[in-house]
Amino acid sequence: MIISTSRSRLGFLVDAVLTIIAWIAFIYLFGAGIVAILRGAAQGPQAPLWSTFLPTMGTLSAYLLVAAINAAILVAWAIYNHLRFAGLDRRTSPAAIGAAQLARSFALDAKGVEDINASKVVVIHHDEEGRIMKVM
Amino acid sequence: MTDRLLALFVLLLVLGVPFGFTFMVTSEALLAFVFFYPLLMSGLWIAGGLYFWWHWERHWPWGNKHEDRKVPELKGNPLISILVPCYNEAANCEETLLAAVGQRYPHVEVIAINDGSTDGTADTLNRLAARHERLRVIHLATNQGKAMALRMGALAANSEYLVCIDGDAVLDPDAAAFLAAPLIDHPRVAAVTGNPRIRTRSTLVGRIQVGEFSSIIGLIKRTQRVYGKVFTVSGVVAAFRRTALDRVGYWSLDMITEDIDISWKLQRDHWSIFYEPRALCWILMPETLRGLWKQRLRWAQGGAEAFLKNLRSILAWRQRRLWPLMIEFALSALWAFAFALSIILWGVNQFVVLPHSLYVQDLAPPAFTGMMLATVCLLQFLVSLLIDSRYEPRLARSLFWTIWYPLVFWMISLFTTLISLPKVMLRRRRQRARWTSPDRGIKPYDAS
Repeated sequence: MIISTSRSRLGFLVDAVLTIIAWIAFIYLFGAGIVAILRGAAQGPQAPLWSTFLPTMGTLSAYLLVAAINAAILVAWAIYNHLRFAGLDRRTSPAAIGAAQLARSFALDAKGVEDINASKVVVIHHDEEGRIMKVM
Repeated sequence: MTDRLLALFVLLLVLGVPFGFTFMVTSEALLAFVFFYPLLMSGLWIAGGLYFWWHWERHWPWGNKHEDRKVPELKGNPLISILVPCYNEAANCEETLLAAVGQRYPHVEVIAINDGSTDGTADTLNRLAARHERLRVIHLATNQGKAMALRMGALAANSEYLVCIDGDAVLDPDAAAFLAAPLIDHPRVAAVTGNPRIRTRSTLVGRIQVGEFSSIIGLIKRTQRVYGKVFTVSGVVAAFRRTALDRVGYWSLDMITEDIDISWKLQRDHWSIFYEPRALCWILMPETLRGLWKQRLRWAQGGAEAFLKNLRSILAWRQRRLWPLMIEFALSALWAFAFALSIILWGVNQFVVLPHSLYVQDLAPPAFTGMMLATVCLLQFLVSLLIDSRYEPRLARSLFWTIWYPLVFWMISLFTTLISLPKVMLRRRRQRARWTSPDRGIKPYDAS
């Protein structure tokens, strides 16, 4: 089902190089974060490595806490709705609309609707306002 | 008149709030919003996607072969009408229609609506109609736009359940049954949106969208379904209950994206919309930047139109469940303008000394924030792989190319919002929407 149209070698190469650059940028962003933490630690008093990560862990925990609160609100809301509305369908299945209602909605007579419904191939003409003028 | 004033007020608000916020607080707070808003939304989408999977999806038997799937048996074996609006689809419509008439569910009629095409679409449709009993054809004498084509399909249909797909989309053989089942089983459901999978993967632009559809659009749809309201059905593959459409006046003729509009109309009328990831539909997407830009600008404009059209009516307490969707849209618009303001302030700072609160030193995210953004984006893609790879086992192959998708998604959101929002808010009145088709994949390279 997938379509992979053949392309010039250059086009493929450009895409590949651009993507490799994006991966390098991604790794740089990640690495820069780690380096920043380590550099901050190097400037501070001598301490075991794990303790230099403590402030970072604090910030990370804050992010995780915010994400967890958001997730908890969403899930709590979903569970509340499951519990509250389980088995409670106040709406019964609506009756399907018939030709008469369709005719009203599309400003046609009932025969016009029946003709369209029964057709195999049909041509519909509209006016400027989008009203049906003719069915052939 | 009130609507125009409201539009002007909204525009002034999205322009003024980021500036006022920066002036009152600091540019650091503005940048914090610019960097942390995507992080926050990403966390929410991951949580929503995982919950949807845990609560529903993991219980659904699914495999590559038909025998491994549990295709729903539809109560009473009702007829399903598949509507296929076609405008200049001579190149694609045959494959689309053959997949539609080839649905495994036996009670299907397919209605192709030729919307005044000027290529060979009419001949192709007539030829196919003569050959396939399940296929019917409506020719619109003049081009009327997709909304009108869908309306005529709904009028001609002999079923209450309408599956609507684009003229270049290919349905999975069981998709119609999966889409119709929730409409039959749940009286409150008016629409079911399917799972579009991208076919066109020849260029970087095409491949990036594979990641985007799984990691962003798929997770957003699941999250919105968990919340209970959906911003929009997929225009390319969705099913509708005709009675519900009739109550809300069918698709609007003057909205640029009829799918967003109909989703809001139905939900304002207190109908539910479901997401059915098993209803697979293979679609063509733009493979050039120009095509992608054109398509996304139209989507953004459609979102802004829906926001403006519904803003006043959903303020009523009865519509409160739609408020979070509106707030999310408003925050995304504010994010775009906040980002733009930070770029402008940074640029001005290169030449003029601004007050401290407006001073933007650097546009790149601080090292630690950058690391967080990168990690969360990767995590989001891995979560989507976990959930989505059952529908497309080779999805992991896209991992190499999809590194671009977070950046491209947020940058396109940024620029399309900056352009579409003022355009929609300052427009005098809406006009009849007509077809605008972006490219549907590149043409083969001729080496000779």
